[in-house]
Amino acid sequence: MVGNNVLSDLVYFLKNMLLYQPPRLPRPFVLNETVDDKGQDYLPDAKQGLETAAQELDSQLKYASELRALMEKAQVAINNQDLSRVREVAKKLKILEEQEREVEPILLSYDHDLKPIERSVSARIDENARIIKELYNLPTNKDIVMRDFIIPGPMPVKAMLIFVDGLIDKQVINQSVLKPLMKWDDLAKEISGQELLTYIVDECLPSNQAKKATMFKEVAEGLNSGDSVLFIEGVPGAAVIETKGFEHRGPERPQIEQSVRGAQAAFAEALRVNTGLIRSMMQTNDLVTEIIPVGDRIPVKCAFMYLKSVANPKLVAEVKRRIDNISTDYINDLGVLEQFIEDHPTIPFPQMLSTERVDRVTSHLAEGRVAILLDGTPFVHLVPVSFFTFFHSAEDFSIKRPMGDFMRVVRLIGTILAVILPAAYLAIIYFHQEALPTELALAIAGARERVPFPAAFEVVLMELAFELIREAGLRIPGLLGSTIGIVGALILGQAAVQANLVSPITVIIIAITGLASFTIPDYRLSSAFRVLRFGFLLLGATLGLVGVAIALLLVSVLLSSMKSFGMPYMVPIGPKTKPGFDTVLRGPVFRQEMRPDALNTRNQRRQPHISRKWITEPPAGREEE
Amino acid sequence: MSYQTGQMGVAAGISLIYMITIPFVFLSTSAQTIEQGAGAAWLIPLVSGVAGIVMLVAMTYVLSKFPGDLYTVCRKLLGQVGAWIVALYYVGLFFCDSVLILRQFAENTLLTALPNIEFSVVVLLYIAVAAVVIYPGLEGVVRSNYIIMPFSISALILVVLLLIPSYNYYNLLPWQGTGLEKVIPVGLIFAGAGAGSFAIIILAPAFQSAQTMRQVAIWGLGLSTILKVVTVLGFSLTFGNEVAREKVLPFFEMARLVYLSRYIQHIEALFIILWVVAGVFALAINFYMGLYLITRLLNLPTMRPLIPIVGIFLAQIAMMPPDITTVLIWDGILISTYFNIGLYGIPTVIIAAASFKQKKGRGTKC
Amino acid sequence: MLRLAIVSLMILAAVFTAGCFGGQETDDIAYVLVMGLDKSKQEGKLDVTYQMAIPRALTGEGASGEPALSITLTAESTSEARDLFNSVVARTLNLSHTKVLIIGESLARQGLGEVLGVFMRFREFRGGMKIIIVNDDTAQNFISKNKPKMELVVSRYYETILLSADQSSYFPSVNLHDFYSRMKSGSAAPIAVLAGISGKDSEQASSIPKKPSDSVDDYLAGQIPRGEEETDKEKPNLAEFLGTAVFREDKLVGKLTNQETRMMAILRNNLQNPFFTIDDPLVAGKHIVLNLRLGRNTKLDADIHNDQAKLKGEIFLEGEISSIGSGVSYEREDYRKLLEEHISQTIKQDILTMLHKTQGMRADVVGFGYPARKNFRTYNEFMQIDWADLYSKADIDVTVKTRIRRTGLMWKTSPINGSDN
Repeated sequence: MVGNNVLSDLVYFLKNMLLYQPPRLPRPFVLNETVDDKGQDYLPDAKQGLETAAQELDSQLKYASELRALMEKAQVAINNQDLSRVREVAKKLKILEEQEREVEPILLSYDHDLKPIERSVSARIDENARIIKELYNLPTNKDIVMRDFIIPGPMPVKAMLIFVDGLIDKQVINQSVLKPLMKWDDLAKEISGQELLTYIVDECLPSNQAKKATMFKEVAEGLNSGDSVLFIEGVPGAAVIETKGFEHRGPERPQIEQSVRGAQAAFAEALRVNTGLIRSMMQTNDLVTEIIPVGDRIPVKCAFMYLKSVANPKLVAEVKRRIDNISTDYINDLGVLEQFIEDHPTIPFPQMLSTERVDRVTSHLAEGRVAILLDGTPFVHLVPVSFFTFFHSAEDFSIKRPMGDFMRVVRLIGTILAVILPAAYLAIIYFHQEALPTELALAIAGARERVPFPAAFEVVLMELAFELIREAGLRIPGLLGSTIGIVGALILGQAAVQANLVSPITVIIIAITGLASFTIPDYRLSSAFRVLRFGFLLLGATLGLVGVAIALLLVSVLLSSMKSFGMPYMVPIGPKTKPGFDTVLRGPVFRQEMRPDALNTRNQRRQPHISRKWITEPPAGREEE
Repeated sequence: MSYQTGQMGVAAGISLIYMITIPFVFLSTSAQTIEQGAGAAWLIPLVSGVAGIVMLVAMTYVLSKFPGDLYTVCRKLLGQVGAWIVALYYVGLFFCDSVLILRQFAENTLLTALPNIEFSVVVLLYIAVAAVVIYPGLEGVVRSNYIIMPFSISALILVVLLLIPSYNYYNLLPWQGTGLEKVIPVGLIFAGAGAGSFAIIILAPAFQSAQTMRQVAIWGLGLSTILKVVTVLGFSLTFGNEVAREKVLPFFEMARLVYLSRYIQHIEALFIILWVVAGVFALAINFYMGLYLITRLLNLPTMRPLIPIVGIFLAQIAMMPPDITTVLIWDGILISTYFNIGLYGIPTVIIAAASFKQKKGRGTKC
Repeated sequence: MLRLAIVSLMILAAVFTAGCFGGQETDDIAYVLVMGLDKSKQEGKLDVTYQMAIPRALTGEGASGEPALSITLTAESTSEARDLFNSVVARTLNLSHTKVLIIGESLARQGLGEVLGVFMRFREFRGGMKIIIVNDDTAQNFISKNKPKMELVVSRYYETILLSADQSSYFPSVNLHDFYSRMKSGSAAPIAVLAGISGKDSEQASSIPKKPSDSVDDYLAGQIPRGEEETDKEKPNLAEFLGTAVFREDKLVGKLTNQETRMMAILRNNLQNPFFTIDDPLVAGKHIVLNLRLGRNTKLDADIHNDQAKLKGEIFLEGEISSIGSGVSYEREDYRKLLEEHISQTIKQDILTMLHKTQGMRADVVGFGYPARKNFRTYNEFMQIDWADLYSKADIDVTVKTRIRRTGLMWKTSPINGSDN
């Protein structure tokens, strides 16, 4: 090689520059609009007709060849005078007869025009296998397991067990499905077809739930929810056997709505676990669970629960009507479902109570509300709710009145501060300096003397910083979250003051506002107020307290004209209904004689006028006096 | 029909009457009563309140005999033309009231809260807020006012209580003021300011029964009368006749004067919220009532398209008077003449017609 | 929804195009804490003094320099002065925190009716402002000499000292609202606090003759004798609040001394709990000090018969003995009765002297005119009379009762033992 000197480097450099050629790379991937993106579902494919015709012919051909094979066999058997062979052939014939019905050209062409999901289960196992393969995109899709086996006995029958890997419990399949079927040798009777299936389902399978299915829709539903499906040659039906065993989180301690007192169970993702939790806390036959699937492409199970003898039947019907009438692809969260069914989706205030606590759900169910659950969401929503419900926490009733009331008042003060404090601060220092005590006015003025920004900018800057800290604390993984909060709040604030970017008073105002906003027990209400706060800020900074008054007025009118599932939002004070002693402050538990008036429950009274009957009776040990 | 008002109970009715009648407290009227009544000025709102309650309760009796709202009752008793005249009269009354309230509260704002703001901006702001507020319907307005009412009443009482150290009880002497023979007629004439409370008669079908309306009339007007008496009393106890009658904004002056210690003083700014809310609600409800009557008269399916048009119209009228003194003089003239027709004249005619008709009805039956 | 969006957009547009509607940043504002008014040397003009706070001096870090700044300008009116100040001070003046209005004596004698109008009409002023008359001096001088050492902000000084007025009752605390209502009502004469700078002319102190019955000297503001070194102009604060300025209609017509002010306070129910020094009724030349307060509210009454007013006052005092100079056992019941009677007599005498003095000024400082209203049926009848005239000719009847309830921490006095008695 030539020595690396400056000259050679220069020469190479120039050569490279003059003779540069881009490296040969394949064309980069671009996600283009696909041609058949739109048409597939809704427009008939031109090729489709040919394909189905081919399939028709194919199955008829198959039937014909099978028939021919059987005839050959029968000929051989008859020739040999082999009785057992003849019997076997006779049985095969029966199966073929069963299958023959399907091969009728009209039925066949009708069948093949249907989408695979809409077809009925065929008596031929290979046809079923083909449909399953089509349904589940086998062999690309690796989740589906198809296990072929033979049910032994005097007349061995081909059978096939299908299940989705990951959703099933392998133990259950091995022990209570495959084992009894494969070791089955007492099939004395010669039964086949539907009878065989009934016999297997009724007498053979030691599984807790097993039912017969004739349509692929049922088959697919079963498979999707973790059941196994058994096809048997010659039987135009399938057995759907309960073998659910997917991994899910069990109930844990509440993470968001923590409490000192009260039950410590929170919902998990699995729907059945959740309904079970509620039912285990409310052990009554009165509790009804209705399940409706929502989502057209990917149905998700949505349940709603209510107490039959309490809840207003119109309310239940309305909830059902709204959930039933959603037409969408997929709903993966209750929060999404909520937006589909609530009264005012554009208003930021929550119109359902979302809770992860089982005890909260049960207490509201007992008042006559309806609980909505969705598979995969560890929360339960309750309807209808009033604005004041969001200020209640689960343990308000578990502790005594003075403490419960005190906490509620603190929350309410926190809410008011969180909404109007920054706006009122700006309004006062911009327009109504006289409202402050002189020393305070001078102190604020003195502190702001070195700050080069307008006060409104300062407040918005700090609000933004606070929102950043909050969001960062929420998004950052695990342990770092709390650190971010401390680092952000302490260091950022201190540094900003020292750098004369903001005045200390602004830091205090924003810190109090932020702290106050955490006292709002409901996360969604608190986010709604967080958004509103900026509106208040704008009006306060431009119109002073007149602006704050206008903002308050608009919010109160908005709240008063809202409805949550037909119930006015500001009940029980706007409109005024019969007092329930549970609005801002709560009354003693033994005076809560009526259910909330606005719910118009079937049964208004929940306890008699004197619920503590013992106070009217002689004390223990003194009965004889 | 979206202008339908929905159901209202006693609470909603009280809130409705409170909304219509309370601006009295925040405007110059209490200064005018003191000018008229001196030491006995507090009798004036009392007399007006009682007169209003009597007329309103009398009307509820008519309604219990002839069910329906004001318009249908008038059609039954006075004929189609009579009903139209009455309805148009009340349209005029509510729009007049809207204009007066709009102008006076806008002036109020300019005078006290935001001295550097453009006048037309304030007027447009108030009418815009009132329009937004009535857009969803009456229910929301009435309910939210009912929620705010306890706070505004207690704030009002608080100001009067905080002023106790500056009271001079001798300011009520001589106790007859300018003479009872003068004070009571003035009180009866001032009752016109409460003519807006006939809104409950106009909205009669929204109430459950005539009994409900009677309760609303007594409690609602009673409450606002008590508050007016209390403010006028507090005002004259604090300022005395000579100073009190000079003031344009009695309530503001009262709040300004609070000085309990180094820390409890200068609180008038906090009460801006109170009177802005009261003013906007009063404006909104008068605006709504006028529109409601128009919609009812012309049998329109909804009032919503009318809101911005009429709103701009009202704002323009409100900006017409050249100065605040003209407005105050017009306010006085309208209250003593036009508004009194609505309080005394029309109800008397209706009651007379009702009793006549009933007698005739009984006569034919016998 | 679209309409709502349009409406809200329109509101937003209105808000933004019109700017900030007069909102002011804190560093655009200068807070005037004290306002002084004087008659100018130029005919018909006013000397207006503004004392403004300097907020930077209050932050703690750079707490150097004066916390306040005073400027005096000559103008036609206070409002004109405010505009002139705008050319002198960079910031916008804000008068909403003005705590006191200080008026020089010469302006007060000329009449305040014209000057006060703006204070009632302009929205930044309020009735709670205190009104102070400078005894024999100008407001400008008073403001420049008054340098409170304890309070950081000068407004705090004025507020504190005027809120403590009832502690000694040597000076009243009068706000603009009281002053103005009295001026307009015709039932009482306006009064104001008298303030002054100590040692301006010390020879004036002796100009008030000491009455033989008085056991304590009478002073007006600026006349309190101070220690020798304290006349040094540098060290202490030389401002004093003492006595009352008495007005007839809107003109200053006379002054009440500290003792007279206290008598007025008794009649006006403003006595909190001051010390009274009374001559010993038994031992000449010795004093008894008592801590007296009003046991009941003073009752004032006025009857008018044939244009002759008869004024009545009923006073009930309760007290505690603080010191007995002579050592006589006034704790004993018989002596106590004697002492009570003596106190009542002394105070009654002092009150009558004070009232007669004001009758001479034709100024009803106590406000007998208010109860006098009950003699009339209607307000118009009352307005027909000239109360000041009736007052100056009225008969006055004052009854004073005194009870000594407590004797302090001692309940008897032992004589001083010694051979020379």
